[in-house]
Amino acid sequence: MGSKKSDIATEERELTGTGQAGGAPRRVFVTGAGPVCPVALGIAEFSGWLWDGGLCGARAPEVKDGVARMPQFDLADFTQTTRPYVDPNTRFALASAALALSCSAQSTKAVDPARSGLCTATVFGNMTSLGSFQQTVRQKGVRLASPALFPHCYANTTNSLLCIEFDLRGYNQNFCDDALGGARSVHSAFHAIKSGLADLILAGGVDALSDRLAEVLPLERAVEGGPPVSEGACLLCLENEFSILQRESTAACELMSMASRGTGLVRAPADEAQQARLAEAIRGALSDALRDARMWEGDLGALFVATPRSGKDLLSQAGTQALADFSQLPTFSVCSSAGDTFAAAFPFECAAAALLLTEGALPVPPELEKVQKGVEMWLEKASPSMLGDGVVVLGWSAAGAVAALLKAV
Amino acid sequence: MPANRRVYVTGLGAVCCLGGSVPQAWQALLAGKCGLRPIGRFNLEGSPYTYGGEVVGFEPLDAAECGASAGAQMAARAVREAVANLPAKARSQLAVILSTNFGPSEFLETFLDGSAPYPRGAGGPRRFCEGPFAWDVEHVAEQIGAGGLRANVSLSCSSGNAAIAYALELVRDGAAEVALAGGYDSIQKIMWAGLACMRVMAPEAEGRTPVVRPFDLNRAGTLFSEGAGVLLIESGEHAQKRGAVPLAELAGAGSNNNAFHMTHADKEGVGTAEVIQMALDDARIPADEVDHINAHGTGTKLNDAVEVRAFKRVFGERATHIPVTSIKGGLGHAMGGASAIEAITCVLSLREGVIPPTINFETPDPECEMDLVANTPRKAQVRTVINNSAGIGGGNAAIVLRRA
Repeated sequence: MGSKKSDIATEERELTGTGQAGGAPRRVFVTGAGPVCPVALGIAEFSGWLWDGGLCGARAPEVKDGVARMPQFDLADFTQTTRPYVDPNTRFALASAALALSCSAQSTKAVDPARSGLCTATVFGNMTSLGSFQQTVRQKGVRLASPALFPHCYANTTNSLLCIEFDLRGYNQNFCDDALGGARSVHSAFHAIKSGLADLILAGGVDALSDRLAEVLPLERAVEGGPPVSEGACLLCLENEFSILQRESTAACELMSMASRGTGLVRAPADEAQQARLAEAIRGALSDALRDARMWEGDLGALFVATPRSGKDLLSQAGTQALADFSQLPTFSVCSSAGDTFAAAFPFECAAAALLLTEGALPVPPELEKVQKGVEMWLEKASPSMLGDGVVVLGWSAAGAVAALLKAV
Repeated sequence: MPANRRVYVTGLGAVCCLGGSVPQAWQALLAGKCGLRPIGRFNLEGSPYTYGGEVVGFEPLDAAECGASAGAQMAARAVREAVANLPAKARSQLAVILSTNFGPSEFLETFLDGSAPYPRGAGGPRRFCEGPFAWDVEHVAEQIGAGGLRANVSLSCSSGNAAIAYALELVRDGAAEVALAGGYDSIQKIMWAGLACMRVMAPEAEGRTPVVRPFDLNRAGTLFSEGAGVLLIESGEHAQKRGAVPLAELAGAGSNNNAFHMTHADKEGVGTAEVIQMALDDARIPADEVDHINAHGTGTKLNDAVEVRAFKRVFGERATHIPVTSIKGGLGHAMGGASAIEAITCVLSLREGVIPPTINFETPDPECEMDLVANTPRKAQVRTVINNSAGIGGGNAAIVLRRA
C-alpha cells in the first residue's frame, strides 16, 4: 500500500518476545486496504479519487433515487472462489479482503493461519439472502426450501466465508451493530494484535443494500439531509512486526492507539443535554487516543470523520460542538463525499488517512473552485503539506464514539 | 492500557426454558429436568420439527410497540437480575455487550415484506439506518440505565462467549470498568424455518418425543431453544471499591474460525483445539490446570465427536479424566444465548462445587471417550473451567473461568 520502505524490520530485530499472548505489547501497522465502493475498486482507484479532489466533491458517485450503488464487477477478478452463490455483502467483502492482502505485500507468503484473523462488522447483515429465503419458504413451504440458502442469512456468514477463502483461522470477531461497528471491528483487531493474540488481522466493515434497503434508507436520510446512502466494503490489513518481516509487507502507517467512549443513553433525535453528552464522548475518545499514543494535539496533521455530516441532525451538531477546538485542523470525510457505507465508513476513513500519511500531503486539489458546494469541510484552512505526522479518525453514533490515531512511519 | 488487569464476574442473570432466573434454571439443571416441549407460540403445521425450548411464563410485549425484539426483552429481564446489586450510580458507565444469532428477526421479516410499520422505541419510531441489531442493545441499556459503551456481536452459536471475550477486552483495556456481557435469541418464524431446512434437529418420529443426547452413541440431533444469559463483569479495583463479591475470575478468552466449511465441522477439531489454547494463553494458565469443561455438546453426530477430538488435542491423555458436561439435553441449544447461559453454569460450578449432568445419556460412544458427568450431578472442587462453544460458519469461542 505504502510507497516507503519502513524501518520496521530493523526495529524488530532489536525486540524480544515471542509474539504470543502475554508477551510485550506489539506494535500495530496498517499495511494494506481494500476499498470497494462506488467511487473506487482497489487502493489505486481510491488513491486516484482522493488526490483528484474526491474528498472535496470533485468526483461524486453517481446517485439515483438517493442511492449510490456499487457498479457490477466480476468477483473472479479478485478471488478464485467457486461458490455458486454468495450474498452481495460477501461479494464486496471477498473482493475487499483480496485487495487488502494483495496491496499489503508483494510476497504471497502468509503468516501462520492460526495467527491470522478477521474482524468484521455489518449494520444490516445479509438482507438480500434473508429476503430470498423468506420468499422461498412462503412459496414452497419449509419442507421444499433449499437447505443451502439459509446459512447465507446469518449475520456472520460473510465473516465465515472470508475465513474459509483466505484461511484465516486465528482471532475472530464480528459486530452486527450500528455504523460504529466498523470502528469497533478495527479496535478489536488492534487490541488483539497489540496483546499478542494474532500477528495479522483483516479488519473492517461491509454493507450491501438489498432492494428493500435501497428503497427505504434514502427516505430516512432525506428527512435529515446528508450524503447519499451507499454500499461497499473496506478491510484493512493490520500486522505486527513479526508478520511484516515474514510477509515482506510494507507499512503505510502505524496504528498508534484506539479509544472508545459510551454516550450514556443517547438516541437520535435527542435534546441538547444528550447532544452535549455525545460531544463529551467524542472529545473523550479523542483525548484518550492521544494520551495512549503519547501524542498531543499539535502532532496532528489531519482529522477524518466517519460520521456522515449533514449539519442538521444531532450527530452532526454534536460533532461540531466536540471538535470546536480542532477547527484549525484540516478535516475530511470520505463518507460525506462518497456516500455513507455504514459499517464500512470508519475503515474507509482509515484507508484515506493511511494514504495521506504515506504521501505526507493533504488531498487538496489545485483547482479549489471545482469544489462542490454543500460538502462541509474546512478546506480553506488546509495547507498542501501536513503540519503534523499524526492523523486521527473519529466515528460516533448515538451509542458512543471511537477514535483511532495513525502516525507516519 | 492497564497491564494484566484482573477481571471478575460479580453478577448473573438468565431467562431460559428451564426457568426465569438463575436459581430456577440452576435447580432445574441439577435436577436433570428438560425444558423442551412442543412450540406453542405460532403454528408449526407443515414443519417437520415442532419441539423446542420456549421460555414459559414470559409474555413479551408487542415488539412493534416497545421497539425491541422478544429476545431483547428476555435479555433485559436477565440483565435486571445480573445488576440487582449494582448501585444506580455505577450504571452510568456500565457497558452493555450483547450477542445474538438472529436478533430482531421478527422485525426483519416484516421489514422485508413491507407488512408492518417500523417499531417504536422509548424515543419514537426506530429508524433502519441506525441498525436493527443496535435497537436491541439500546433497549436493554435503557431498561437499566446503562450509560457506557454498547455493542452487539454475532458469531452464530458461539456468540455468547464472543461477547464475553469482547467485554473482557474492554475491561482489561480500561475502556470500561464494569460491563454486562451475554447473549440472547428468541424463537421466531423465519429463523425456525431456516433451522428446520438445515436438518440438524433431532427427528420427530411418530409418537416419539425427540430427545437431545449429547455424546451418546445414538445421538441424532439438537433442539433449539430461546432465552438469554448475562454476566456482570468488572475490574478487580471496581469490584473491591464497591464491595462486590467476586463469583469467579474471568481469566481469559479466545475466538477464532475453523476456516474449513460453512456448515461442516473440521473432523480433526483443529479450530476448536486452537480456540481453547488461545483462551488458555490469554489467561496465562497451563492446560493441566483445567479441571472441568462445559462442552458445546449439541447432540449432533459429527460435532460432538469433533469436540472430543479437540479436547484430546489440547489436553492429551488427561482429556479422558477431566469432567465434561453438556447442558443442552435439558436446555436445548439457546443459539446466541447458549454459551452465555453455559458460562453462568460454569460460574455456579466453581462456586458450589457441583457439576450439572448431561441428561439423556444411555450408550457410550467410543468416539466420545471421556469423563462425562452423565445423568446425575457430580460434586467436584472445580478451580479452573473452560466454557467451549462453536457455531455455523466455523466460528469458535472459549472462555476460561477460575475460582475467585
